[in-house]
Amino acid sequence: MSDTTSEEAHVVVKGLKHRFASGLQAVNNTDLEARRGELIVVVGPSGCGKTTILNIVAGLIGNQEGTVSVSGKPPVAGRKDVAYMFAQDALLPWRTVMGNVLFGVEVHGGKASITDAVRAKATQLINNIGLSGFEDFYPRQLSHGMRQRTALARTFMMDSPLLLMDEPFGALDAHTKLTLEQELLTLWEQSRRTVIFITHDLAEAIFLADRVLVCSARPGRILASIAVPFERPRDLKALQQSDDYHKLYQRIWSLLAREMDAAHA
Amino acid sequence: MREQAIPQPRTHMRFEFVSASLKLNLGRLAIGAAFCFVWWALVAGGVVSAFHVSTPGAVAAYLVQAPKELLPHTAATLGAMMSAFGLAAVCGILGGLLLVEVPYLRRLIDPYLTGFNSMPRIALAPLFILWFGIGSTSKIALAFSLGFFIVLNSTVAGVKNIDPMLMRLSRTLGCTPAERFFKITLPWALPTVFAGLKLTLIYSFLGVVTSEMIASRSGLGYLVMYYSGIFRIDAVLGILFVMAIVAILLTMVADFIEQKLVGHWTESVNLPV
Repeated sequence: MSDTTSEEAHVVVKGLKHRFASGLQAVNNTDLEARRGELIVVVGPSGCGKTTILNIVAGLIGNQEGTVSVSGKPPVAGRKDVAYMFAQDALLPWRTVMGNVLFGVEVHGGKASITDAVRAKATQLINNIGLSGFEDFYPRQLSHGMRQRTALARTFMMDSPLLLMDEPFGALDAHTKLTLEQELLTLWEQSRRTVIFITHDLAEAIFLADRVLVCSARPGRILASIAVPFERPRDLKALQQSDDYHKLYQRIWSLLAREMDAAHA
Repeated sequence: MREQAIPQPRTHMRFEFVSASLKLNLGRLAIGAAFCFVWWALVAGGVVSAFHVSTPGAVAAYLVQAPKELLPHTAATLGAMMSAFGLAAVCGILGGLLLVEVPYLRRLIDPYLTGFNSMPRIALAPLFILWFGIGSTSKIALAFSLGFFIVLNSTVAGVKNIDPMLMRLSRTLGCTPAERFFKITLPWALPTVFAGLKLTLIYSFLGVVTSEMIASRSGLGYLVMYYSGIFRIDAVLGILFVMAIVAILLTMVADFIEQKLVGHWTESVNLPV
């Protein structure tokens, strides 16, 4: 990816509104823009409609009001240029780690696309996420963190330039979560794709993001877009010792805390 | 010589495994032997009469001379059973898939299915005999009427309980309906369908033997009725023993196939590291 394209808007959301069938207003007047190769993280209180926004961008939910475009085209579920990673691993229990990592590629390109080169790439990826030696294991034989790693590798195995990640590490324990965040950053730095990452964990957001978007309490809209200036590759320990990190954390936290209170009121 | 000094954990483990399974099987044999001994002692002590319960020796004597008679009848029972099982499997799976694909149809015929399935099927046997005669067709019909619903219900259950996350995954990946069916729905439903098929195997056996006991000219059920009619308790018990062996063998074959087909991913296995 050349620098000239890096300023180009990849995902553009304008004036998005969404009301569920129950009448609940989930998203209200949301604007969001992700440039090509940018890693943006959306934080917000639970139930603020972050996932709904992501589902609309993925084309899983129809767009009711406002405009959404991905690479200039309206979203449709199943586009090969968009990969989605969920909070649950969604691994196929009858496929091994290798089989699961290859699954997305196989659906996109057919069985014939699984060449030796693709297998070699998958093996490399499995190596990078620390699962080498587990290629032939079935999901049932893996720990929670290992399964989510496999799902991460499946997502990165596809060549989709846009990755949508819906709290992918939300269900992991704190330690495993940090490891996976680090692994995500490593993979992302190898091939900078556009990432829209959703979380309610502010530390995770700052560690990963180029830009943090703060989502309001429901009905959700984007309250603020805050650039995270820290250099990459980032080191969480070093980051946590810097005053800038804590200042930024406090600044976003004060915004977020108000919304969380509103969400509970 | 030096190699002998090196401990060989693998061989050791295998040896322990063999001795453990040997112990288990010896224990199982001991239970059978104890049962036979109590049986023999009750008859020998005059507590129960040999006329009613026969003796282990008489049953063994019958079984020794019986193969010539038992083989064709066992073959007749197994043949009818396999036909019923095959029909129930094919019709049940296809019917189940149809009901999942057309939910309206399922809602439409649901009361009929429930009604028919909760009816004691043995009550249908006289009708089937009237319609199809006392040959193998009426046996197959009764066994099919039991097995079909088991396969149908397990297929519907297997497809319906699919993990919604996998359906979401298939949508985001852009799976075609055929890909979704063959790569996700079908393998997902397989263990449940297989559990239904295993049950159907045993129920087909039950259905065929029941039908044979009501009216038939061949099969193990027919033999049981024949011998109990002439008070040959030794033969009746011998045939029951054969039936039990057949049922155990069928279950073992089904377990083996299940293990080969889905065992590697459904069985919870401990990490070997």
